[in-house]
Amino acid sequence: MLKKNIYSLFIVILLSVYLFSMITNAQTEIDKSGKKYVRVDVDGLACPFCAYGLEKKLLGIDGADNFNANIDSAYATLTVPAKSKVTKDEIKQIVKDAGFSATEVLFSDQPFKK
Amino acid sequence: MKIIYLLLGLLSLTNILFAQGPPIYTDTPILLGLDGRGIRTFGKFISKENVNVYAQPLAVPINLGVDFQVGAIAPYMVISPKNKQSVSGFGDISVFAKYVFQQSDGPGKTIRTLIKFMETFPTGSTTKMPQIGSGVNQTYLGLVSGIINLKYALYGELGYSFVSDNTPDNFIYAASVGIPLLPQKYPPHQINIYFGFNGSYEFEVKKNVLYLSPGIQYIAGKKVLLETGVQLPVIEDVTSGFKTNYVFTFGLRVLLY
Repeated sequence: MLKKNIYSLFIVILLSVYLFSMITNAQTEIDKSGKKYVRVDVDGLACPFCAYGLEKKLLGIDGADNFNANIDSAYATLTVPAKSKVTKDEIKQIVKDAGFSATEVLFSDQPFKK
Repeated sequence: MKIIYLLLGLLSLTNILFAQGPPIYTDTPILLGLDGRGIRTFGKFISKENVNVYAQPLAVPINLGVDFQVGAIAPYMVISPKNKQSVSGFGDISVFAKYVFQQSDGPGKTIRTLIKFMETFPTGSTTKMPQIGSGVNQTYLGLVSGIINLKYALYGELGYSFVSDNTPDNFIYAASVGIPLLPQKYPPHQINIYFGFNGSYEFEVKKNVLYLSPGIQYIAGKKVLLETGVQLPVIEDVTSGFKTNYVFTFGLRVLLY
């Protein structure tokens, strides 16, 4: 019985340590990166050569970086500083100024899955 | 009059120059990409029965907004008649404006239409033979439309060129289809093939000129595009001796920043 309890306690401790390390690692990642991830769903992005104009406009946001466009799935991703105050409406306007239509803008502390 | 045919034949060249992306021989309703910060070099070699023409335009397109573009074009031309001395110099200077008045976007697709105005002034020299300039004013008004998606692109243009000094006006028509051969991705690395036609028709004298225009384009990254194509005459109601053998085009588009 004692052996079983010790075994259970060991499992609980092990799981706790594992969960704690995962949470700590995730928080460290966010803190270290200091980034906010942005995903913009873009309509009208049918020409990869034209996406360069979109890249230029979006990277005009203060501190913006890591632009990428997924032409097949019709969205673009980028990062902005975690403290950036850029709003969804401002990003939609930037996309419009680039000649496209933004249907949705998402912010995240984690990179978006490709 | 003969030089008019040559210069009107070069009209499609201005389409190439001002196109912000594909296609090669038809204009595009997408005013994106270069954004007035690019260089385009384009050479066009026209082989005719009694004369060869090489044209290298210099153009400055400026986007005044996402749907409005203005610009100017000055083609440098070398005209080499057979058994005569070549003449070279800048041809007629043109100014143009384009306005996108219709845009319908969806995921991975867009349909756009613009109105195009172009005025060509008789600035090219007409004192030497053969003439570099046309000696007439040309006012062009046209519509350019395109359906572009990830699998194909269709482009079309209809326009009318009013020519001064009792020279026949021209109805201009062109269409092309472009097909990408590689998967779409960004940064782009793509090969596009094009099939199309370019034509002009003079109502007053009922003369038609029609070229088949296949081409191929290689997009080597975000900022570099290479393209080449050939135009072959199908119908050509022009003065004997000026019939076209072929038109060979090659070009490079580079975005500076």
